[in-house]
Amino acid sequence: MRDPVEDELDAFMSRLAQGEREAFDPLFRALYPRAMRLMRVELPSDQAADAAQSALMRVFARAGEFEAGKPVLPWFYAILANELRTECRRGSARRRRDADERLAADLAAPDDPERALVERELHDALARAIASLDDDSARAISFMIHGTERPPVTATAFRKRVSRAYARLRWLLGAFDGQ
Amino acid sequence: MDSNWDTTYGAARRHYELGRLRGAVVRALVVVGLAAVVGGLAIGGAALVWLPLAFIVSVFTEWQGRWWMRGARRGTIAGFISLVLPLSILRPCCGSNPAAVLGAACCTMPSVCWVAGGALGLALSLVLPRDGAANRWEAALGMLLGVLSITVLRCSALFLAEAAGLLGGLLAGVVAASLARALLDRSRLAT
Repeated sequence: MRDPVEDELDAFMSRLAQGEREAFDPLFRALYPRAMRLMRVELPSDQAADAAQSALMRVFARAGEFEAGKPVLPWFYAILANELRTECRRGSARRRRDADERLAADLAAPDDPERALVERELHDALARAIASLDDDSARAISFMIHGTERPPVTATAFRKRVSRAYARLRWLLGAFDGQ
Repeated sequence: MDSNWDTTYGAARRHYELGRLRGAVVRALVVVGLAAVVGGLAIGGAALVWLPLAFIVSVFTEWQGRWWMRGARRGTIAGFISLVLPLSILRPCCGSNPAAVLGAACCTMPSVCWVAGGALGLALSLVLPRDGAANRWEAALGMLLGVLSITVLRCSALFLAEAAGLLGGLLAGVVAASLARALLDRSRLAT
């Protein structure tokens, strides 16, 4: 089965948020491998499956709150990132360090194609989230991240614009559990 | 498919339904709270015994989602309109004397309730969400559930025949208008 393109994923999630259960299956098929890939890159394989399952349970539990029109992948990765942070808070970071020594071969190497794929998709998701901001916010964020041309406004106005842009970006990325 | 896929699929699906249910309960509590305030002020404490029905209907339609939810939301708004219909309209022969209107000695006019319910039902059908035939019926049923679950609070201040008239009028209005629209759409498609 082909991987649905991002617009299709956005549409599937919007439909699922409205209660159309038919959208669950294709959405799960598209999100499950992404969750597994990210967790396999970040965690030893014995923890990756559990962490991916836990993250997907959170994603679908919050599906009813997803707002139509928002891009789904930035929101999805924000939840996954939050799940990773939760794992760390639970003390799995310590276990992870121990596991790193024992299972070094089990983790994805820096030049691993899977890691590259995950990183590319994370960058794409962030770019997509920035692109869905209004023009002023997108330009302000691009200047802060990529050092593109600074918008011609006063320093104070620019600071406010950046602050608003970051707030909007946080909201767009899910503001999951208030983070 | 491996066992982890199946396990995760099932768990994600369960959490999706539970998440919807949780959201539905929160939204239903808002509707019921509003109905309690409006019903309590406009009708009195007797109306509040019907609130569990409004809660159950709201939870069901919000959890179901899709056209059930869209129809029920519009029906609920119409239900609130029926709550503020003055008794002097539903029982006109009693005049505008509030004491006489509320008294059992006052005459009853179920036919006026039929007309009021029918008019509300016909008006509701104008705001019925538009889509394919199957979805339209889903929306119509949701709308009917939504409007009845709130209008039933109004009925606590009415006599049985009047209540039956109001609810029957609503039912007849929505069904008649939905049928008319379905036939109209079919004839448009045929030509």
